[in-house]
Formats: sequence, structure tokens, C-alpha cells
Amino acid sequence: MSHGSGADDIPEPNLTPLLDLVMQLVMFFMIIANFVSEQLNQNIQLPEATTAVPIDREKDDIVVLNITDNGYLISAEEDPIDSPNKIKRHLSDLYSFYKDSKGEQRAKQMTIIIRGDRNCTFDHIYRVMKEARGAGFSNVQLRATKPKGNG
Amino acid sequence: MSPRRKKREKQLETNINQVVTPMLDMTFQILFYFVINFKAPISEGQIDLNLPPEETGGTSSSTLDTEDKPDEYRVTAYSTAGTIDLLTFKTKQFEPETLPEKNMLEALQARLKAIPKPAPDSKSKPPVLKIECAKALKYSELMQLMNICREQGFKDVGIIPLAAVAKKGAANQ
Repeated sequence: MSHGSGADDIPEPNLTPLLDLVMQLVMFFMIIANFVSEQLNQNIQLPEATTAVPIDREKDDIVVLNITDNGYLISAEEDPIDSPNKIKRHLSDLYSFYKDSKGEQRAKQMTIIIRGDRNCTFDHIYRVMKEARGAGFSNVQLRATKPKGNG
Repeated sequence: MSPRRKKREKQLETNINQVVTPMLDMTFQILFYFVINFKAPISEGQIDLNLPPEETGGTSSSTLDTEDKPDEYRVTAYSTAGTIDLLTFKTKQFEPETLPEKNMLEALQARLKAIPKPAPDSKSKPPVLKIECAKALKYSELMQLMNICREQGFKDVGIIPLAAVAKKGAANQ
């Protein structure tokens, strides 16, 4: 080499900006991944609803119930529940759990979020609503996708 | 400073820079993990419902005050294979009207549009609409009906299951 401090200088790429960029990407994906709650089953294809309003993310007392196209109930970290009797038992167990841990008033005010697949029937949805009411819950929320260009 | 010391310092600097490489490797692995597991968040919306007490049955999208009863309308959707086979519309005073099969949703939209709704600041109760539907009706079809009703200004939309007797009657039509 004709210039520089000496012949033993090995030219090295500066990795710091690359590391910065990769770190930023990692941060981005970590934050985005955090938004997708474990309770939300991503395999459920929600129906479209133009009149659905934006989700109120400040609500804490929620229970998410995913209903598959064949009417199975999928609750967080549990196997699919297939029979009406098991659904009934599951919902009354849930209500008892929240009643014991949060008190009766708060348990009653909990919001049951129903994420039903667009191909399931009204019977599947109604069964869950009915059992939720029977268990003691009074607030239900349906989830739907908002068509593109509709917010 | 002796030239040997200078050289050693230079070497140490180079070694510190080299430590970045395993860190970058690890970061790339983490990035790869997140990219693989990334699913674009769906734009979801909510529709609130209130469950009435056990005896009344059905659900309503807002609370009802029973003191002064508002006008009630009923849309009945019959279905055997998931899609809407027959749609009827009933006002309080009249018999249910069967909507034309070809464009039943458009006909329903027109009927609902014709119903007068109170102004937002008015004290009178808004009309109540109940969707009575067959158990076999697809959820997406029900949501479509709910959309039509809500778009036409009905904020209080209830869902009730079709009674077994009514179902038999529809089958005879």
C-alpha cells in the first residue's frame, strides 16, 4: 500500500450502521408481534362488517372465544371444545374463576369477545352467546374485519 | 510512544471491532425468527351486544328501556344450506311481507330506508329491529344482514333464533 500507516493494516467494513439497522428491524418486529394477542386465533376468517367500530383497546376485562368454521370453541391455550355440554361447562368454569378472582360485579361486567369464523353457522354463535348468558356474563362483543378502505 | 506500543494498540482496536460479528450473527437470527413468525395484523372491528335476561331470549346491540316501548320491526331469514333462502319483513301492525327472491337484500334496504328515524338529539326512542334467523344461516350472511340494518340507521339491532314453528311454516311456503 502506498498510503496509510502501514502495510499490516487490514481494511475492514464498518459493521456498526448495519448492526443499527438490524437492531431497528428486530425492535419493529418485536413491537408488532406484541400487538397480536395469544388469545386471537389467526386461523379464524372473520366476516366482513362495514359498520364495525374500531376496537376499544383500553378494556382489560375480556375473554376471547374463537369459533371455528365447524363450531369448535377455541379458548386461550386450550384444546378445541367440540360439544355443547363442554362449552357450557367451560363458560361456567370461566365465570366461576373470574367471580372468585375479581368479584361477582366485575365478573358480570366482563366482555365476552366472540371471534366467529365466517363459515360457521348462526347456531354455533348463538349457542356460545346463550351459554355465556347462562353462565352469568352480560356483555358480548362480535368481531369482524373491516373492509379495505373503510378504516 | 514507541512504535511497538503503537502497533499493539492498533491491533487491540482491530480486535474490539471484530467482536461485533457474532453479535450481528445473533441479531440476524433473531430478525429471521421474527420475520418468519410475522403475521400482518388484521384490521378488526367490534360490534357490541348486550345479552338480555334469560327469559326474553335473543340479543340486542344496545340497552332497551322498557318504560316507553319503541316501534319494533322484524326481519326473518330462512335458510337450509347456509345462504338466505327467504327473507321476510314485518312491521308491528302488518303481516310479514316476503321480499322478492331475486334482490331480497336491496328490497330490505329500501324498506328499512323508508322507516322514519328520530333525529339524534330527539327524545323519542329509536325504532328497534330484530333479526330472526334460522340456525343453519351462515355467520357471514347474518353479518351482512346486520350491516344493512345498521347502515340504514338502526342502532338497536337484536338477533334471535328462528322459532321451530316459524321454520315449519316457512318450509311450507
